[in-house]
Amino acid sequence: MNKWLYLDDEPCSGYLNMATDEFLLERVERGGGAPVLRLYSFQPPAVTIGFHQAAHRAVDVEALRRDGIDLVRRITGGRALLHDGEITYSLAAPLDAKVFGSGLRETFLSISRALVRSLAILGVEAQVAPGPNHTRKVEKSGPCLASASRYELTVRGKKIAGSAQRRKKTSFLQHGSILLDRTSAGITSYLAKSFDSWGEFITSLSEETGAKMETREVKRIIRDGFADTFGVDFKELRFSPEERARIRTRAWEKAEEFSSPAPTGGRSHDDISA
Amino acid sequence: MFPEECKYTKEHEWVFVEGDTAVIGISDYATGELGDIVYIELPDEGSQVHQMDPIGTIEAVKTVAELFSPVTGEIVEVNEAIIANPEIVNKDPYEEGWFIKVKLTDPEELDVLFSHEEYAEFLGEQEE
Repeated sequence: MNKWLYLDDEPCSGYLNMATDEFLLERVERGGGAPVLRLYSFQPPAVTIGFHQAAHRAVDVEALRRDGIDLVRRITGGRALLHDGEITYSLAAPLDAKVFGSGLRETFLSISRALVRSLAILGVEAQVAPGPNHTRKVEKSGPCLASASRYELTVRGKKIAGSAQRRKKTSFLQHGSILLDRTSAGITSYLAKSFDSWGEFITSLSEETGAKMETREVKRIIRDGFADTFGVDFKELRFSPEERARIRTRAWEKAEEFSSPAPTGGRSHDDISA
Repeated sequence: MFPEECKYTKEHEWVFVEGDTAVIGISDYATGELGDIVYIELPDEGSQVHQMDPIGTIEAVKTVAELFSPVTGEIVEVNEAIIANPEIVNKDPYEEGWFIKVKLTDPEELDVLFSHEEYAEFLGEQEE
């Protein structure tokens, strides 16, 4: 049976989380090797924005600072997302890993199938949103979770997990948020433009199972769903002290991007519709 | 230009050579995989690029993909129209949807790129 690597991180800051994902992608890009599955959460809560989003046009940076919510840029596409009451997965793998099929769409689809299997273990019957290019556009400047893009997960038409991807020359990383409860709906308080009543578009594991979900248990089930779907075993990934230092340095850089009183960091685009 | 007259990379860029200048874009296979393109980031005119170095990014349906230069040389023109309206690339990847024009430093580099037939074979192998 093929071995993949598994990283079960303790809750940590958005800066460290995004730095770790970026590091994992570069690690696979440099050295290939086995895919790495990572499951993590955010402490304190953080808002991540898409790679090309202009922060000050996407979110209320002052309000985030006031409420102690970190703001950090993802290396992937899409829009603003509040990481609170959710579990995030990330998967970094070589592009030539045949297990994900060929091309971008098959990669999305195969990972979505693993997530469907994971949710099924929890008794939640999720569907993969239709492709290609299907996006239920609520509003272009709305939050990430307000629309289900192709191959994302829905339950009874409501989004329960959202994913985004980065592709380099020989590797990709896909990460995504699986909602434990509705806390992440609080993103609407922090959007630069007002955006009301999108709660009808989302659901969560707690709502679908009628039980409060424990992070540790959900992580174990997601890991099992990936193992079953792809027919793999996991071996724990441990970073060397040097690797940890590099990740910390990168996390500092990410924290710096929005640390000035009037951040101008970021690109010029606030209208990412994906 | 016709897709048959272009050279291709494994990363799905196409190159069409006019004299000493290479016009570069992405293939219709790439646009099909990406879906609706919402953002394109390209280097400035006058920049030097090297064969297979990353030169920009394309965002579509929550994916950010890197763009690579198939050739070495100086960027002599950037297609500002696709930066303002990225959907042009989805509609017309081989004509209006070109990305950059590069004055070639070493035309022999083109020899390592796929012909149209080789690229079609490569795509076929990927599907297997």
